Amino acid sequence: MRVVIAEDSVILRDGLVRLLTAKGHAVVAESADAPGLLTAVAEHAPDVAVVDVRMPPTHTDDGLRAAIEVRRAHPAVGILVFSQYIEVHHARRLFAGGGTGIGYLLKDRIGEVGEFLDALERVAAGGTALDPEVVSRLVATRGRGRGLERLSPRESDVLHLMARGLSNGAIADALVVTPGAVEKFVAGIFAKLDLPMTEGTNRRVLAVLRYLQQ
Amino acid sequence: MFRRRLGEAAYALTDGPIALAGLLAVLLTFTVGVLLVVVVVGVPVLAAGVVAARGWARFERARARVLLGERVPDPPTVTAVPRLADLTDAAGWRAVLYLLVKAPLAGVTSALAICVYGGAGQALTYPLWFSRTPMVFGMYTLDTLPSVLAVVLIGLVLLFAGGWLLLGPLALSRLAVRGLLGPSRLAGRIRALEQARGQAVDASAATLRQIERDLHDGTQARLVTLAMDLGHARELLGDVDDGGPAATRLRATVEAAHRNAQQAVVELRHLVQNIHPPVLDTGLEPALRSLTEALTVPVTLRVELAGRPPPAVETIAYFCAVELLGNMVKHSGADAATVDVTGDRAWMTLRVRDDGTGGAAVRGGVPGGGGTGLAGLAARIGTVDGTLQIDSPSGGPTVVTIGLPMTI
Repeated sequence: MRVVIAEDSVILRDGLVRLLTAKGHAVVAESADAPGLLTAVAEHAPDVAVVDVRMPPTHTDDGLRAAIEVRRAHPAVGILVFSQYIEVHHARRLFAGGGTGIGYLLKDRIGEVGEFLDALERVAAGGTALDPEVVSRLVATRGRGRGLERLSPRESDVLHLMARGLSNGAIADALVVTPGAVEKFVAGIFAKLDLPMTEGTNRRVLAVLRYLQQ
Repeated sequence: MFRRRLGEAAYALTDGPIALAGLLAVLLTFTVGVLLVVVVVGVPVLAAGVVAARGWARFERARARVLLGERVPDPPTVTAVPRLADLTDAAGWRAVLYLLVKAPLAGVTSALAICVYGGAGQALTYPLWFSRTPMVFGMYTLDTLPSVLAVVLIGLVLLFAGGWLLLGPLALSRLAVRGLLGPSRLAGRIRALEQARGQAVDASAATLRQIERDLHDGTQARLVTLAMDLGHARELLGDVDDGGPAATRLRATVEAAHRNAQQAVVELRHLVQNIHPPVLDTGLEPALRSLTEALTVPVTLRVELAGRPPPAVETIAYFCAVELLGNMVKHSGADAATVDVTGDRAWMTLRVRDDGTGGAAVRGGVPGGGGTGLAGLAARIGTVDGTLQIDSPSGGPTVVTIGLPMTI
């Protein structure tokens, strides 16, 4: 994968370069601020960009705004946004234009190297990665009285993983069940929540997100 | 010099009528007010009298500044508790006292000024009218050229000496303006203390922000990188793990280190969130939105502010909302809540309303007691002279209203 990194901390940026290079990926450009991300993406057309929400110049949500700008100008580039804190409205802004090639994760997840690289590859390939924390919050705040209580505990687990952007195969691996079982759970969820059954992981994630955000 | 004399003359001449009008207004208001006190409406009449006296004082300060060159700073305005303050407003009562003292003084000043300048005016214009009604001075009729010139000369002397004659009464007027219409020594001290406290509150908010930023830029990035490297090391160990006891021990150690590093990242995040949530940097509304979105009880948020409050006030308002909404979720059993933030340029109000069971109260000084959180809240609000009202009857609903100044 060809990766662009936008992160203002030199330590973390170097660490990410080290890790990604060791895993056989090419970091084609690094940027320490939001405007730098836009030029780097325009110049190198990477597969995916790793972006920190909080960056110069204003140290507020510059990274997020730059990521949205990248999405608009270069829809083919996957974007994985990292944030120190989970803000549901950040996720909402990011996913507003559709869920292809978009990820929003808590910075802590970088420490789980395997999961981080999975998410990065998923996003680069046009998939979705949404932090479990966002999903939990959406389920906790929007789920009341909306049919979520009718889900079995297992279906609830599957819903969480589905909303995070995992494919049926990955969900099966995570829950140690067969892919066929997952398909049954998914069908059950869509039926109980009265959602239209859609094909493809991303459209499925979006359907779930829309349901949770209504 | 000439302009100052002219100003002083104008001041002295207008002093009497103005002071008389002020005195009459005060006497009228207070007589009516006192007479009506028995039927309660007298109280607002008295309060209106005090407010009017303050207004009059502002006019008097302006008059003294323009005509006498006497610069007296405005006394501090009472902003903490609007309306109730009017009757207990020291500056207002001092203005009333000024009006009472000033009336006789102004009478003397104006009478003197009218005598002097009136006489001077008559004498100076004597050449124009002596032929019709000549002045008679004892047995002499003043109609010869030398005597007319002598009268004009006397007029000139009066005109210039008048300024000196008025210096005495005007000095008393200056004293009254300075002593009764300016800030009292106590008020000056209070203002200085308020400024110092405002700076302290500002500085501590700025320090907390800086700590948060340093933790984010330095410690947090380093910890995340550490966790990442340990996670990577754990993966790499999988490649060389030969199942031997040394490899197993190494693996267990690296895993423990990784777990601890991850835990440290989480703890640091929570710590920073309690110091200064970064989302506050983008404004109070996004911060409150983020807060309310994370709650399990649906909260309707409305923010209508005339501008951005100072950072310290935003921080206080935010943590008040954190405490109140936290209590609501934990204790009230409410199904829904609203948060309203409204305000103008001077004052903002944060109102949290829920449909829970009520019974919230400030119980200060009871460590671990149910109300210590609210007591802490009251202390925080007190640092900027804010107000806290809790209306939470047993059985609900609970309405907590917090008032905060838009300047500190």
